[in-house]
Amino acid sequence: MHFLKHELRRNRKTTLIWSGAIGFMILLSMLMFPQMKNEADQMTELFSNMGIFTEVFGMDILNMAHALDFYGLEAGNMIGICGTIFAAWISVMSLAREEGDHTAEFLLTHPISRKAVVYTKLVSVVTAIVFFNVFSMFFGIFSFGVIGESFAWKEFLMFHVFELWMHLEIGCICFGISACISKNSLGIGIGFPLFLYFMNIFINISDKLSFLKYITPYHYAEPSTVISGEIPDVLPVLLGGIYGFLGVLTAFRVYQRKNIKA
Amino acid sequence: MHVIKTENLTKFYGKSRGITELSFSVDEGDIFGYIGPNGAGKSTTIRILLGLIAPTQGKAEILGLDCQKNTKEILKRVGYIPSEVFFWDYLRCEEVFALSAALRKCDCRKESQLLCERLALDPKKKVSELSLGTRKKVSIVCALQHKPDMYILDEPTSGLDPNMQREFWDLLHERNQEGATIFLSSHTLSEIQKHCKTAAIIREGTIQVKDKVESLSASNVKKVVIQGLSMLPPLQGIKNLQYREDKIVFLYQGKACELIGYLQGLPIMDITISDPELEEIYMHFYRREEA
Repeated sequence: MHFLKHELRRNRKTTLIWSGAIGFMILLSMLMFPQMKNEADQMTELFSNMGIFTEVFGMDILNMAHALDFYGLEAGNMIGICGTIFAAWISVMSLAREEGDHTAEFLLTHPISRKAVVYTKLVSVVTAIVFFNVFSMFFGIFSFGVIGESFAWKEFLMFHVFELWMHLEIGCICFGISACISKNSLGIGIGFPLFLYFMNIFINISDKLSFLKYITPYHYAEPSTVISGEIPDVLPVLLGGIYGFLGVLTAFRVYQRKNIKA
Repeated sequence: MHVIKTENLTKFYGKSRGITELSFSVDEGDIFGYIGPNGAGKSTTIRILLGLIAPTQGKAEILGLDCQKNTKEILKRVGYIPSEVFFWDYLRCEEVFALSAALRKCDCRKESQLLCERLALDPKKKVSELSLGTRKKVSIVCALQHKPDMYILDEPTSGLDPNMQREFWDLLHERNQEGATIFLSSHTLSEIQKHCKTAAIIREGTIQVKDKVESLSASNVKKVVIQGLSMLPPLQGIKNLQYREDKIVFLYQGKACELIGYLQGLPIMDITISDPELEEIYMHFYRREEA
């Protein structure tokens, strides 16, 4: 329990900064909505004439005159991209930073099993990701209140549930990677989510690449699908859970046998 | 009873050698010095004993428990001071002690306070503000506060000033008198000679010699440097003889009076007789093993 408190405290600052920054950005972007709403006809015409980008970003489905659709596009990008980078970053450095900062030797020469170390760090990472998502969601609700717009709760909650699921999937995969590396890797923390993000863009550009939806979580968490009330394919969602589970399993298996570097 | 026992302990990092077929034991209540040059395999041995790395082959036991299978049980009863000390920077010293004690599931506040007083350490200081020596003190408190049965120390006095070194050794001798066993890895021969009961010399991953420190000291090895001679007549006890430009350097093991008698009458311009360096002692034993 003491070690868990230590881990939570260690992640506290990073989690608060990311959550606060994204929450504030959501509020700022929603403050633009009243003006956008007044120019909705022009905006809809503009967005529908952006060629391939219209489909890529789901702007052919979302109606910018609707507050929730606007929220899906703006918050979807911020929570979707920045949130996954946050989840990947905090997860990939979780186990690896003990070796990178040379604190693994101190920690692992205490009577704590490696299994307990992995478990505690996993709880800490999941807590940070859940906090980030809940905080973002409350900022979203607050933003709607500030601009005086109502929204459909079901679609709103579905959007946030899929975002959370995506963050947990990427976080768990990166947690597995963290057990396999020996130093902090900012590159993986930023590169891996962006790689998956662009993979989803390719799906939206070409039907031939639709099989990639079984790899990238951005497809099932796409705001244009979730907010329009469509239920995403179940298989990619389930596969996302399996990938995340495999990441956690890898972390446990690798870390228990790992030779700790000095 | 053997508190540490290794059998054919071998570790390879890919193709590079860590240690090879290392077999030795440390008795209960001993202060055991583990000497060797950099890269000899000292840290590899310690890291296997502490369960941080797995051996390629062989077996290591501490307190009768297997170092790979019973790591948690072993670590409950071991205090470890690493050569290079790192903590989480944002913590204060007292938080490091509390975390270390909590991981051991014991309340060590009283003992850590006593240790801080003896080591002149301010527990309120943040780790990020500490010098190398003060961080070493924090490590000492963490290793000693739970009063373990076994201490594993890797260059424990590096960074400590002479006063603190003395205080540290006083603490260790007190713990040893209470029954604790101490395993000390060091480069400093004088430290080993002064404080250890038994010592082993390791080189290139294997133990060259292991004996009581008294026996090793009784070997009476001296380093002799002579100027003014081009050749040296034979004498029993001379080892590692080297002719270097204008001087002759050798190690001598034997009675001092015999050496002085032997040198009398030779056209010596200058002579130095001193204690050899660790590496030279090591070379002495290495050659003896080869012979």
